[in-house]
Amino acid sequence: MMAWPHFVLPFEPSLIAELRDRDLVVVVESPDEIRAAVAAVRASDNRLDCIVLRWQQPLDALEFAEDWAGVPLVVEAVSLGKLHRLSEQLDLIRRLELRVDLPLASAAQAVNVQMLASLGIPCRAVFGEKTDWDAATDLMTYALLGRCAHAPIEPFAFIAEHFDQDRYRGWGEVSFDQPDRYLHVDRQGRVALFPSASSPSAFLHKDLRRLDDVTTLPAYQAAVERWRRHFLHPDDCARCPGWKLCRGQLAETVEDKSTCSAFFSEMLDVAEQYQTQQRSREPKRNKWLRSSPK
Amino acid sequence: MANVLLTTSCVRHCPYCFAKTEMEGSPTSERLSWENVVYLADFLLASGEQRVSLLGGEPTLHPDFVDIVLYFIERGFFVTVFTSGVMNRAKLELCERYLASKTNALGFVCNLNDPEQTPAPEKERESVHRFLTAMGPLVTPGFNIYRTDFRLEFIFDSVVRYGLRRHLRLGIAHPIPGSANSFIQPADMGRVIDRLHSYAEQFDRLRITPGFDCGFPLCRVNNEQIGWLYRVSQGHLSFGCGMPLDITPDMSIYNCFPLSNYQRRSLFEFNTLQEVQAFYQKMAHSIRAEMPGIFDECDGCIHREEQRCAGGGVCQLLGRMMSEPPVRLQEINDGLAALRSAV
Repeated sequence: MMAWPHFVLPFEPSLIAELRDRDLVVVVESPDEIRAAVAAVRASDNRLDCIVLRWQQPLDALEFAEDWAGVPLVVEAVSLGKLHRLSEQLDLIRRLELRVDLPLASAAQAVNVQMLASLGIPCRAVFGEKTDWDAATDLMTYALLGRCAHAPIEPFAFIAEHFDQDRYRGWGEVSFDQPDRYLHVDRQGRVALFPSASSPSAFLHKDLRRLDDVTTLPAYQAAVERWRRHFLHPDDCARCPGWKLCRGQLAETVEDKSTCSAFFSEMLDVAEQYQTQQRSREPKRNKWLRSSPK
Repeated sequence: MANVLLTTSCVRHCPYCFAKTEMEGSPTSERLSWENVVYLADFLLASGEQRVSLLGGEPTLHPDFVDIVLYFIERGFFVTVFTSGVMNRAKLELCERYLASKTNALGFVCNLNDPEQTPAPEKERESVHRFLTAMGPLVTPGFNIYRTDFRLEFIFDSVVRYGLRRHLRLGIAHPIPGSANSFIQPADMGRVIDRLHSYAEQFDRLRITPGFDCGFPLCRVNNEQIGWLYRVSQGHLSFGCGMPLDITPDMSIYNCFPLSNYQRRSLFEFNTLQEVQAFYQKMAHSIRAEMPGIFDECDGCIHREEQRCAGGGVCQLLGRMMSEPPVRLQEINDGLAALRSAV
């Protein structure tokens, strides 16, 4: 059974061995480490959430392995590369429990995500400082209202699926960036709320054995409810019509808030259309059976 | 069936080229973008279409040619590539490595020109030789007839030499309304059929089936010839106007190359391929209501009325209308005016 939060940590066998009864996201820097990382988690008293491969090359340069089948795997690649180099591995790739994360810095990169998803490979478009918002809008529309079936494109699929006007649901978990879902452990065993933690003050604990205390700490509570600060000291996010979807997730990533605001405002319409479509696809129940006696 | 132009650049200068107004009117760098490749695959699949033809210009000139072919195949399409076979060694190596094994999902139609009647530079001939040597089993030969004294010996030789598919796709060079390409005049259609029939013995001996592209009129084929054609093609005979839909790199759409400037639309105006087909069928009906066929006797012809023969291609009718005004429908007059101004 899953227990939140899960822990995101670099592949370090001693760290994994030190943990008990946790769900782990293990980050590896090389494909050669995947097999060992899976084995280390399985040999420990923990469960594997997924492996994240930080692949600092195009996806087409990665040699996929048969024994990755059954391992939830995220590959963060810098670009797609050429389809012909990937084509010989496509059958294998489709058999894997794989998601490919690609940056969304240009229209061409957005089309790469679209292409991969259309070939049945789940993807995530990674927002950053250089996001091309027009391309993001096209991709989001394709992700939610595309006329042909395709693999999910995150974070759009997650946001649209969980969008609820009356209930808060952050979407940082698709990028392991949500403290009530994922906490981050560095090589020294220090625990942080966010993946970007770098300064010592950003760490909650310096002792991996005190993980059970983490969720009771004031800093943890503050982080979980960090969205409130946009309204306590009203900023651009507090006034943004796209807040209902964004929930301030990109507040620190995007400098010019007019860009992401326009995007999420448009997405609001698209997400509503998406949910209407989904509801219309649900099988209609027989009106007369609904009130039948039990 | 949709024809998708990957690029408007071409490497050859065929005298009969019926795509030349399209090619000459487009920027040389125009290429189909990946965004539009994905859009087209979705558009066609959503329309229930699982076959696509990739054309140019010369489609292999697109820098991502191999990737685009693989993409359509991976989306479940059967892909037909219309090529001259002229490509550089690097591109051919990519084709050999990644496409040669796709025998169930890919075919090439290589338009071959008679080395004597339509001579090409030595370099071009060598390139075609390399292509046919490498990809022969995937290649169906194609030949465009633009003169009545055409010869097919070199085609038969190529089929045997390179192990090509034993089907010859025969096209009649059509007029570009208002333009000056080499094409077969309606009055010469009978001579073309006679000439083709003179090769019956070779077709039979080598077990090669001839297949007609659009525009051949049934009335110019005598009973002996039609008997031979019926037998050799196993009954798959067509004397229609296929109305192929050509989609350009900028996502314009029109009803075959010779009509590239007649009722040209944007693909984005339509939701499905069926909508596009309905639009151009309506266009063809209005033209045929004005002029039933390429011959005066098409009016009242039983073959045309029973739809065994289209009475020639729409492009041939428009070509005739260009020199025989006035016509009745304003819509057609407007289209002809657009053609004249484009030329």
